[in-house]
Amino acid sequence: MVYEDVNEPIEVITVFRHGRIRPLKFKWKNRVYSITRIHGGWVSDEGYSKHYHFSVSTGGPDCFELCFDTGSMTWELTRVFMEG
Amino acid sequence: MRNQRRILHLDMDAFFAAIEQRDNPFLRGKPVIIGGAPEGRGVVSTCSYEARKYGVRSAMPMAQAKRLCPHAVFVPLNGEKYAFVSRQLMNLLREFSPKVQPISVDEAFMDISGMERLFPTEEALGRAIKKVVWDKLRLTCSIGIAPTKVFAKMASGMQKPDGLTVIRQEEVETRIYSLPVEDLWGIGEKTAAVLRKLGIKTIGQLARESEARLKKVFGKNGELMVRVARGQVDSPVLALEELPPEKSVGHEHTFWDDTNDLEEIRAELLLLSQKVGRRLRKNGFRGRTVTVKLRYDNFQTTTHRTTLTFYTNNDMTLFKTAFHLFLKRYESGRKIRLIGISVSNLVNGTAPAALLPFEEELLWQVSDEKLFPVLDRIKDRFGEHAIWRTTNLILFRDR
Repeated sequence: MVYEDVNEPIEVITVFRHGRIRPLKFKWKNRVYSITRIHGGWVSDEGYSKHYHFSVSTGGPDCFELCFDTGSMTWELTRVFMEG
Repeated sequence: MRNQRRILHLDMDAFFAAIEQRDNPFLRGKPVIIGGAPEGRGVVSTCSYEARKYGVRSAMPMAQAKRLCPHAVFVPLNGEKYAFVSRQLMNLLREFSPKVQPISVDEAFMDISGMERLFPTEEALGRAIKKVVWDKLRLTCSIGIAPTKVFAKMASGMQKPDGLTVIRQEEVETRIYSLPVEDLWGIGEKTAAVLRKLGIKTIGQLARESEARLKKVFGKNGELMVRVARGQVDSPVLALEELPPEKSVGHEHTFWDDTNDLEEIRAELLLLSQKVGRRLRKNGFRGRTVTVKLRYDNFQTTTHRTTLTFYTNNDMTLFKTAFHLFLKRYESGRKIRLIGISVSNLVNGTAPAALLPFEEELLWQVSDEKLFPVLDRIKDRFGEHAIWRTTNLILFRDR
């Protein structure tokens, strides 16, 4: 398996500009990660809410998938990708 | 290219695998296989070019793929993600021309006739599209440009991955006619075998064949085949708003394990009927012909249909009809691999439409007419999994 599902709430510093969302930093398990690269993103519908998914790197060895839920206005760390 | 019909075909390279490799840097450069679990019964949906080197192909059973490439990374399908990227792709293409016709999630035709004023050459246009797709999506595609849809599709496959092939009208003979006849889009193995027996081995030989001779063998299709090979027949590229309305709405399900458990089959059929009913209502359709598809464990596939005397989009009417049809035609005790339901003979409209002045079934249906809009609104607001019939819960008992 090259990823592990996490599904934990996280805090994210985010830029909302021109109708776009761009995560900059997130805090998980008391550690702050600066996002160095967004590899890809996609949007899914959950009823009236939209879920914005981002695959990001933070300069370290791992890669993360984050998700912003417009219904609850919360962020979640959905999974961690790792060398398999 | 002035005053000539010119068609562009774009085909994404290993689309699903490429998206996963884009989003997960650890997958890059590795053989990646997208589909069900490797120990399961599913098939390969797509695989990366690294996996293709080991002989892995789309539609191959996962177990076989695992044998051919045991060190591959197996990634489950993420349909929502691929559909989203597909919509992004089609929107990018429509920035070049409104005449874009998606033919699958990762392929589209574009009518580029008359675009010579915007780009100095067709190669320049192809490169511009490839650049936008790469810049915006970080994915590669292969493009073919030719006088017809059929030749454009063949051209896009000539230099995969990341290819660009332009075939001008005067080059058709030199670049297409020498190819084997089975390379012509639409000609399958069986037809090609018959053609070879007739001494027709290349597309050029087919193009030079008499229409009358092939009509005798294949009927009208024989005539058509010759004209397609000559580039004389091609359908127009239809933009989204020009596409004909849906002819049927259906859903099917492959069981995790082959089953002859009637309770499980009934619950699955109910779930599929609900999905079909909801899609019909969403699109403002009602239908009258209900078809049930069964695939037994030996892959024998049968379809059974019945036509109602009225039009419906009522989940329970669809389910009752489908289950009745199933019980009538199911070979009792045999294990089923796949079950599906579809509704055709569609009409627009939201009101019940009876063909006869009095329908007992329609009277029964009225009680549900108030329920479905409420269920639909709950699902619209909270998502497709927000509310279930209790019968559906049986499907989760072993999961």
